[in-house]
Amino acid sequence: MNITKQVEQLLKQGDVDIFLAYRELDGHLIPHGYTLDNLEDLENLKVSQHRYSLEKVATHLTEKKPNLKIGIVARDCNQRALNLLYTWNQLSPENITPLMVNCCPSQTRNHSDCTYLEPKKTGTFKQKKGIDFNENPREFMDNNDNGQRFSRWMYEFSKCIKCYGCRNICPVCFCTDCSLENPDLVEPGALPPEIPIFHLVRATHMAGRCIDCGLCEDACPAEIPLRFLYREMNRIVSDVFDYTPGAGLEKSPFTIIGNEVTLEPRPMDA
Amino acid sequence: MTIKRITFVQEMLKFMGLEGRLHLEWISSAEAQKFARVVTDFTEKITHLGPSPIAGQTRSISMEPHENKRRKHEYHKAG
Amino acid sequence: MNCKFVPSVCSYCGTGCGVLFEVIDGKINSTLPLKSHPVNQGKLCIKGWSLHEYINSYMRLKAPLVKENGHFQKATWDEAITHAAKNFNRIKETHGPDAIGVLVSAKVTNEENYLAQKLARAAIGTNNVDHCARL
Repeated sequence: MNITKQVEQLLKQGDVDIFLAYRELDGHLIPHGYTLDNLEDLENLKVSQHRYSLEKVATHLTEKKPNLKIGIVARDCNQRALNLLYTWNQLSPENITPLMVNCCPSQTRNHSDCTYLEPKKTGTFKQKKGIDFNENPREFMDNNDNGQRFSRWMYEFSKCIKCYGCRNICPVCFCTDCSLENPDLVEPGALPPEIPIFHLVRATHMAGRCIDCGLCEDACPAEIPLRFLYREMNRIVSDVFDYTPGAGLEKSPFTIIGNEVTLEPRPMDA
Repeated sequence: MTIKRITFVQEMLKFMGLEGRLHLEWISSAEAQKFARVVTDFTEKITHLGPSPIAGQTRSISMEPHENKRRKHEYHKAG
Repeated sequence: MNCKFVPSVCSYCGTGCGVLFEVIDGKINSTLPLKSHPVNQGKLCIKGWSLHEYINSYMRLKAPLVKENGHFQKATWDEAITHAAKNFNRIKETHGPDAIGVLVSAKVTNEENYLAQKLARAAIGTNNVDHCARL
């Protein structure tokens, strides 16, 4: 059964109130919310090559109407993001119906319909001074000594224009109070940001959250290899905490928000 | 948990090229000698590593502008 | 509940980045870069990312204001335009057309910019026209 029929059925049976997928409009493939009111739009339903974070849209919708039943066309990365949002209680699995589509690594085709399957290109100057997008973090550690690593990262970070694009596009950045907007940590209205602190603050907050979707690297106008950085953070998290964010629904070892106090206050001599 | 978190930050700093500038040790108030030894060792290590390459670059430390910062923040709030 | 995405062009500078507004129940909720846009290719600067904030800002002007006795008073469009035209005519007559300058914006379309320079040159009669995106 093709995806249009499936979505139509889900909507008509009332399994979902709104279905988030893509449509073609003026030559652009853009996200769209399909509902019973605009069933005629369904014939334009597409699975876009370009990926937007539909799960973030779902959290926005849930914020407005908590019991809304949402369907989502999901690739592997969307599914990981959804898992993480379930763990952090941002979405509830009962209200979300993901419809899985062809993705990397695809069982049907080697190269599937995702732009992320084409590796990013790195220019020669960036290779010489900065960091290659496609380098293996382990090789990066072996090939560069402490000072080289530092200067390469500082070159990359110094390009930052502080657009907050990495934070804004991130499907798992849902805190209402962002550390990067705290005037005591990051001075407002000053450019460049304090490097490398600005980026390391974000990297630390991505620990145990980053689901390696690559949207941040794609949205970065300064071409900072963020995915490369967060991938290494994820490796450390999986080594140290034995946890892979988004892999399943197990509880996260990180309790940054919704903190449970495990130590009960009691008298000193008890 | 602390040890795991510190290990994470240590590994992260190592990846950045700022290795060996963070140290974690449990010392009880009864272990004065251990405290002295750990602090001496770490001071020696840090002296050997030299000043941090990012020292002086962080605006909030190197400049005075508490006043300035607050004023800016208020402005942002108002706008 | 209705959710749609509307492609548009960023109104801040002359670059013309493609943006995508997330519209939930008729209200713009957030801004995203348009990934398939040839100009910005899925990237935006901080101003583009916060486009939705000024649309919903409480400080936004929704009616024309005319300053009377040092205070701004709400006025209708007819009143405001008549007031402006009358005073421009007065300045032109007393000090000549070159006493007036026209500054146009990158936030409006090419056509509107063209009309503004036409107004300056043909109606007012001055060459004092400039534009913030004349970088």
